[in-house]
Amino acid sequence: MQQQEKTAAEIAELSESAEYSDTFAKQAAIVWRRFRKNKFAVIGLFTLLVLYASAIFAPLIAPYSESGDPNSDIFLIDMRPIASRYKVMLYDDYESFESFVVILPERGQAYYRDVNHVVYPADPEFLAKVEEQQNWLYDEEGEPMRFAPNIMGRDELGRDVFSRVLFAGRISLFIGFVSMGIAIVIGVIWGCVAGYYGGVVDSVMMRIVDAIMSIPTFLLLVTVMSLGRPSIMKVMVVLGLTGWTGISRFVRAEFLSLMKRDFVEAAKCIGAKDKRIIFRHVLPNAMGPIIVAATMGVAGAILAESGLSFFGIGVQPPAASWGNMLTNAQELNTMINASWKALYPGLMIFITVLSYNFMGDGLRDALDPRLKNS
Amino acid sequence: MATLIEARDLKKHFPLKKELFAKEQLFVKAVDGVSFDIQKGETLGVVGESGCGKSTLGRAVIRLHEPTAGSVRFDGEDISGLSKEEMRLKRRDMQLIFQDPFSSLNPRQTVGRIIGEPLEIHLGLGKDERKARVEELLALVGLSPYHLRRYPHEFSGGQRQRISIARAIALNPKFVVCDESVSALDVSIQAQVINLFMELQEKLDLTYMFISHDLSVVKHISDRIMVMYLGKAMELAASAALFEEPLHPYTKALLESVPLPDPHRVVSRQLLVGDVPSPINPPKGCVFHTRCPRKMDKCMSEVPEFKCVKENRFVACHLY
Repeated sequence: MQQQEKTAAEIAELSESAEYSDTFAKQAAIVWRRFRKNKFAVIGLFTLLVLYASAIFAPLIAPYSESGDPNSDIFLIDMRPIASRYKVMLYDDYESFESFVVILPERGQAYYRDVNHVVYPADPEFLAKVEEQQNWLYDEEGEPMRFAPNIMGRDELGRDVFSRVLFAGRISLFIGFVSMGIAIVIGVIWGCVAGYYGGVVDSVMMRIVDAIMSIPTFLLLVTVMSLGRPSIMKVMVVLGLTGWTGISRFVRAEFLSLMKRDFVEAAKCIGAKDKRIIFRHVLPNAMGPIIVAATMGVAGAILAESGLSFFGIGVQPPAASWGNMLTNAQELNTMINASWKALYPGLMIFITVLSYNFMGDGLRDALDPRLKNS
Repeated sequence: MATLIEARDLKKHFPLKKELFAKEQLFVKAVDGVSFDIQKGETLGVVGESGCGKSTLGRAVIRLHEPTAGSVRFDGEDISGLSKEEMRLKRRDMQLIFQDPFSSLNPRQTVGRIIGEPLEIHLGLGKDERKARVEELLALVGLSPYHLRRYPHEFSGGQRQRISIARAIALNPKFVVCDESVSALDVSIQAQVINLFMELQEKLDLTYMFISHDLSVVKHISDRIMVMYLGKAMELAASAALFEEPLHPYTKALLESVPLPDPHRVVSRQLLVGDVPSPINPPKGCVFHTRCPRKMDKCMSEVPEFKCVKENRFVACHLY
């Protein structure tokens, strides 16, 4: 009985799911219903929403500023992650002629660091000696300064990694999105025209693509970026203008194979114009790979930006991007003693790329009516 | 009876990719000078082996393939010289139904959209009018109104072919080319679809050009039959007359090759030997002379004329 009810509901959903209506809102509702069934895709979408939201609201969420506070940061270089509010004392050991920074969290173990940044847990005996000196880091009002938690630690200039990850997200996500948007628009139009008209048009257009592809992209990027002052806008435009060739190639390939299908000839036969054939018949069938490529492309653009930043011609310090945060943390010493500086920006890139891929897969399936019931 | 289609000396040559340093451009002569008329309301069957140019001929007649030479008059009007846009508007009167019902329907569109599209393009009907008309068409081809919300992959081959038919007749065309339209279906479904074709012909006053390699199907549906071989018409005759008394040696061989469902009947079969020659470089003279059991010297040098030998009977053979 229950089984029957379920199938009845399914039939209702089915008949509703593929409505005759072609309004965008209803189509979108159908796609969303199918998309929702893919758990990973939903997780990916949700993660991306969180990432974009945190990037947009970075100034509200971040406990520290992007560029840090030069008065206190100098004592807290490469500090390890700490999850509670804390105070800081400076301590000079006259016996060993060494200076220490002592971190006193409100919860958890106090620790001290010598000039080499090696961290030791502070035992009660040592803490008692420190208390004698009473050499706090003071704020403007002369009170011992209380620091907000640094949940992702601090970097080589003592800036809060978490805050910088948030601000960097603004730039990285935006660059990925916009440059891929530019690449997709150019690539799809180029591929459509070449694949649809074929013949000489196709040959000429594809030779142009070959020519562009034969230029080492990264060197081109470096050259263009070093002309004049590097800016984020320039990074996006250059990545967009060089990233479309691959997309145009497989859009064309997709078109060539779809153009041989009878339904395209059928569309010509019922008197459809070129525009209608391209946008109603061929392109929707090529949508899956385009979406997957776009999601991959966003990830690629984020990585390309980090490469540019590595050479100092991408996003300029003190502005942060995940790429330049990562490249700042590439020495072996850093990887061993302050791995958080590389870990968190890397993790963000990883999560973003993964989320885009999950979402891309889900979207591709949701857009394909043939996969509806699987 | 008025003439709907007058095709004269229709040719379609496909250029081959030119090899480096090759002196001359080679062509596949898919259709090489075929002339015929189709009367209003009749069904012309076109038969022949694979690769003889049947499908190309069907597409050349309605200019879905641009003919290399020759002319087609449609309902008295010469359509060979029409511009692309004029031809686009003319398409509502002539339709094509494809062989493979699995690739002739856009998998991303609902049946309602597929059938409604010609209405949208040519009549500019609004959504509700379109829906009403599509439901009407679905009923006409034996499907239910609720089917319009489904996608093509949810249907069987026979049902898909019905959808193709509904799309083709949506604009009340005068002429429909059926290109192997039942060949991909299994036999019981074939019968249903053929009956549907005949039913629609009666209701909508359609004229068919029915292309098939299946002689029994063509015999059943056609008023007249044209036999093709290597891009040329061999024989054109009324259906019954052709099967009763085939004149051209190729037609005879073709009819004898049909298997008979009677194990006791002994027929002296004269099966053809050898393969069909290449359409790139067809034999001189009569294209059939390489395989013809009644070959004469003349056949190797002179091209036989496609001429009227009896009333309503055309043959291209030196024997007649």
